[in-house]
Amino acid sequence: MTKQNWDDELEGMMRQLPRIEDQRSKDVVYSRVKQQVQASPKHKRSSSFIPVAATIAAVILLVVIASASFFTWGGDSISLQDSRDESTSSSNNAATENSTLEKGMPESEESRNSVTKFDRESLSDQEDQSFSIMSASSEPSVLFPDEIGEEERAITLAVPDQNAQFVVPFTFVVPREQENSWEEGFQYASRQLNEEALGLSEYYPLEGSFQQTSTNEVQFILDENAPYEDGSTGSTIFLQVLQELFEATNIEIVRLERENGEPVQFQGAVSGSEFSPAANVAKTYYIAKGKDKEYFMPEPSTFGAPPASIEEALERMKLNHEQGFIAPLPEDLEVQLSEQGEDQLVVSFQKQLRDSEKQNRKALFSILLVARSFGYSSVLFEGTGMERVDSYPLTEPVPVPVGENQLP
Amino acid sequence: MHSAFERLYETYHQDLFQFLFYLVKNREHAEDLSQEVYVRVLKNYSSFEGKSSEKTWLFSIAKHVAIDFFRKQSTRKKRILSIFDSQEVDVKDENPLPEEVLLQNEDIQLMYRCLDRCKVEQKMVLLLRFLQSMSISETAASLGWTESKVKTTQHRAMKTLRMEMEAAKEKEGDTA
Repeated sequence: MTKQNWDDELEGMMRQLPRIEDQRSKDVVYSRVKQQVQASPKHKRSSSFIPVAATIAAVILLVVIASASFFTWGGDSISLQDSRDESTSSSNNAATENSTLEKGMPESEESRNSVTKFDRESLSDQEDQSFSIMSASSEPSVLFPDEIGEEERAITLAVPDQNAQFVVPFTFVVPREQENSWEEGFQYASRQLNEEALGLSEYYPLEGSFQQTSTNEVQFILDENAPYEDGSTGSTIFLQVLQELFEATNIEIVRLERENGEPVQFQGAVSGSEFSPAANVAKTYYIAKGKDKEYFMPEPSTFGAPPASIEEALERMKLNHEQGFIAPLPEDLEVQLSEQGEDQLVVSFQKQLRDSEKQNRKALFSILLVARSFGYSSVLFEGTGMERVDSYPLTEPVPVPVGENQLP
Repeated sequence: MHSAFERLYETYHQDLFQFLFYLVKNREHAEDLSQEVYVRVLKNYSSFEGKSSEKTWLFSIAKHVAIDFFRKQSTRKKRILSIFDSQEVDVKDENPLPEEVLLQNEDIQLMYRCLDRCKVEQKMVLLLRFLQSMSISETAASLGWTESKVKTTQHRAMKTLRMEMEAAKEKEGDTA
């Protein structure tokens, strides 16, 4: 049976589900509702005061801290530790300077607006808050290969934070039957993206257009006033976006051009106009925490050198990042790494994971993401004390994800 | 309060109950939740601005009530939480098939059971779209989503349901 036939049949069957009616009379329902309404004010006052008061206290705390050591991320705050190492590398210094500029502002218009927004939403929209907190998207997610159907493809889009310090990759599953070419798939994914809702910077649609010129090459033609060459930050972020977009694809060259033929000059691109996305860049992963969502975030190259080995990557990921990102691995994690075959990593836990199921899942997902960045195709976890992660029994190797932070 | 309740009840109650029942698959829970929806609706009735239809407003409140229910359940029973996070978790249906479903053919009964393999948000979309016959835009308004999110979630829900039903049929074939 074809997929369309299946869908039609399922739809028909759904419509045939029997009507199940409430057998209580209207009066019975009303009397119970009335009792609840009458009984609730006293109870409600006491139960709602605490979260509201806590929210107000949190907002006040946020305002105080925002001016000293926090930068806002679309209304969300991510802590920055002030005790930066003096010996930070020069590449780190650039990012630090930018952060310091933000920190130096006593309370920018943007941060005031962010706090107001947070305040308003927290106080008046408790229902939405509770939904978003509990929805699947509140936890950082990954997309596994078997979640992509034969008629689908995965496309990763990276979105910069509002201060253009780092990018967060998001992976979309794009139906092939609707969008046949890669460019169309990219456009489709771009349309799904709501950067504001994610607390990130408005970045899509890109100011220019892609055209695939061969199996391993695409051309990006910049619009006349595209901002991607503006200073080193604009250029660096744009190249990070390209890197994430093409890293897991077979695209080896991105030619950057202008419609009118004028030369482009990108710092970091070969001869200013040709960018080669690196394949399998070794990465460390952290968790960027928003107001009600968490994301897996690869450490940007501007924040530090890539890890020299997977052992080093995992070691780093036990400690919170100095830029405020959260360590996905427990600090007391002890693992032994070995390889089985050409591309299977074996991670033997010396102590079982003892955190909550959610924390343990984040830990295993982050190890899988790191393994992917080192070129492994699967990971066999031993001694975790867990039976499975997602649908994968841990007695078997788990495939590395196709991407991180699945949307929608 | 009574007149507002009476009108809402007459117009939407059985649809609302049906939606909640298929979400939680338990008559008593569905009764409690439908009452809670009315409590919230009546408390906030004056703030209803008419930006959306009354029906989608009612269902948007039902959505939150249901989400709160699952959250409370999860604190008592961690297993429920995994329904939010993964459709693949081995969820046993603890509630017997209701009589109305038992009277249906095997495919419908199978689909009823497999609905639990969908994520809660996928299930909501399927129920609103096909059981309540809401349009994409009405579903989006009820869930507070964009229309494209409704379409994508519906697509994935159908896929999950199809795969789960195929797997269940294969399993039944193996044991037969």
